[in-house]
Amino acid sequence: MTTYIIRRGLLTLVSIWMVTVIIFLLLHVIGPFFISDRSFNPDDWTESISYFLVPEEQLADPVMVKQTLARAGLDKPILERYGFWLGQLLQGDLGSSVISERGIWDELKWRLPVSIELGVVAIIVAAFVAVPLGALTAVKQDTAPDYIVRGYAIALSAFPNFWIATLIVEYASKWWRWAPDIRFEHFWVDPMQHLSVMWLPVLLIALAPGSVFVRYMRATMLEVLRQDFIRTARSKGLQEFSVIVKHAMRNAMIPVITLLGLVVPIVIAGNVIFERFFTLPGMGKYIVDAVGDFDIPVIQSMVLVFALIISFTNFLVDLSYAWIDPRIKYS
Amino acid sequence: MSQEESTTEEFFDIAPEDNRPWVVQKATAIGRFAVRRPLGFFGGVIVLFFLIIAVFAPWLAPIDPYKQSLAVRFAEPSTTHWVGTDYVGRDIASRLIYGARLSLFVGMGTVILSGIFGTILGVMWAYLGKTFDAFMSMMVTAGLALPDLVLLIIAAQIARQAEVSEIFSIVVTLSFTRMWGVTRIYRSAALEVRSRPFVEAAESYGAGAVRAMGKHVLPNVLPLIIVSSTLALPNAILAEAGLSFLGFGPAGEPSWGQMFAGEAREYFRRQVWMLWAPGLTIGLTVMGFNFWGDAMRDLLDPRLRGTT
Repeated sequence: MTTYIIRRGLLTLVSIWMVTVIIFLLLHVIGPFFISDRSFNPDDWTESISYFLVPEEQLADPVMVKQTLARAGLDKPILERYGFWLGQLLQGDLGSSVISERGIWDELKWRLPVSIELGVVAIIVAAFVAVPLGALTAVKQDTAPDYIVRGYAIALSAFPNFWIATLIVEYASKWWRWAPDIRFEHFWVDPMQHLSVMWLPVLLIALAPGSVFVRYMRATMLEVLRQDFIRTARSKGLQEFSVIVKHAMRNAMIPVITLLGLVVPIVIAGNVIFERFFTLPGMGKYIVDAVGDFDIPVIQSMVLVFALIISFTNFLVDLSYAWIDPRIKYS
Repeated sequence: MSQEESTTEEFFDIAPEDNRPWVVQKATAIGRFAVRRPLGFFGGVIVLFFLIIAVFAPWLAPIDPYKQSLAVRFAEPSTTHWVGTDYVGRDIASRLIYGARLSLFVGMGTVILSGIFGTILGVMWAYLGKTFDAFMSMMVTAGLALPDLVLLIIAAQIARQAEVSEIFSIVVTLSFTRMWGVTRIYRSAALEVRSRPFVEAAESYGAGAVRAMGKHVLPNVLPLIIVSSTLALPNAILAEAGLSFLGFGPAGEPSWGQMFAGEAREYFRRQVWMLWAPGLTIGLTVMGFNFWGDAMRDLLDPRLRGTT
């Protein structure tokens, strides 16, 4: 087991390094390659990258261009640029934005809690609502509750959640003259204001993982309910409620944990969409704004942060297989 | 029962020959499918409808989807404007029809590209030796860690700046991010097929790796490829809609996700169809593909339940 953890951890580290290569290629090689054909020397990446970063009116002035690029360390040859970034990263320095010149780490300190809160609370809400509902559909298989809950789950995975959000905002304002509160405050500044801003985005982000949980919980629960130990529990005279909650649900819930690896990328996409939709100062909004401005240091650091989050959950999920089912042996 | 009494057909349990016309045979088969799997049939109808609309968009669209006309802003649904017009007087129905084209292109492009690369890599991964195995597990772990919507935004922005087709960049990026999951699924399927006796037999006859992969493993993984592609297509459609909703979609192209985003949001009071029509279209299409995919999975290979 220990060797497995070490091997899996090493694999995660190497794959994160791979991610840095992929991001770097996309932003510093592929991007400039496509852009390079406009009046620039196509072999000169530095010139074409300045097309990304430098405001149009400054492009005429080579000194200004040089200064802007130098600030982000982007005036060097390509390999040196990658080494510079990687060296910075290894020292725990994410660099700073080219546009606002603020340190990315300073921004993250404020933005990371917002996104993590949105995502984690959304997953918890989804689990608390969807897991019992999924169990209910399995217990009441092929009856009205089953069809209703499954219908909702199917609809929620088909109708985009950003469309549902638009519907809610539009009709709430039309019928009750209510608009979502967007004056964001951090929880430690003004808890009530914070909650009144966050509840709707959290619920909307929870929709997608919720429908995944319902369908999966139903499938595992149906399987568990047919097993021998359930029949034993019933035949020794246990209450039906106790059979279902204590015996069946507890066993059916365990594999649902492994769904986290599937759900986290979905939740991150939800973060990106809804932080922009409700103008919340999280990481999703940060990266969307950065992409709009071609703020390369911010983009590459933020993609890396997202990739770190996803690969860390994948790592935990892989380990949890062993914890869930001790029969699994790792060599 | 002795052999003399039963005909060959009965003995070998062969169905009696069907002498009805071909059309009748097919119609009864489809009818039986509709009765047994109503949702799958419903999905199939939606998928077919969507394909026809997307392919024949230029002939089916009643009005030019790009044509703006301030004189007919916010027109009510009528015989000329089936679901009315939007805030700059463009015909919503025509935009939906052309949007189907974009959705189909993105969906099909992604499924085909990621399917081809996923199949090749997955089957090779199951076959080739240790070094390749280590390399692939590293690549797949890295690939699965990429946040797809974020990469889509970046690629779309680069494409816009570079004046390259944004649709092309969406398809390539989506395929790149989806490819790794596909690779992993096909690899485990290929490993399973490879351990079956007939592949072992072929290998012991001296069939090389390439022949074993192409002739024996690939055809047996095919049902899984078809099913998982059908179920992956609606995800690509949703991803494109999300990207367009964020304002990074193909500029100027009619896209379902873009029709209720941005400036349109200020005008729902005056034209409620700008909100409802695209959302319902996306939802129904995705649902249709999901139902159809589920039905196909059960028909082609019931063992695949829960694998995709």
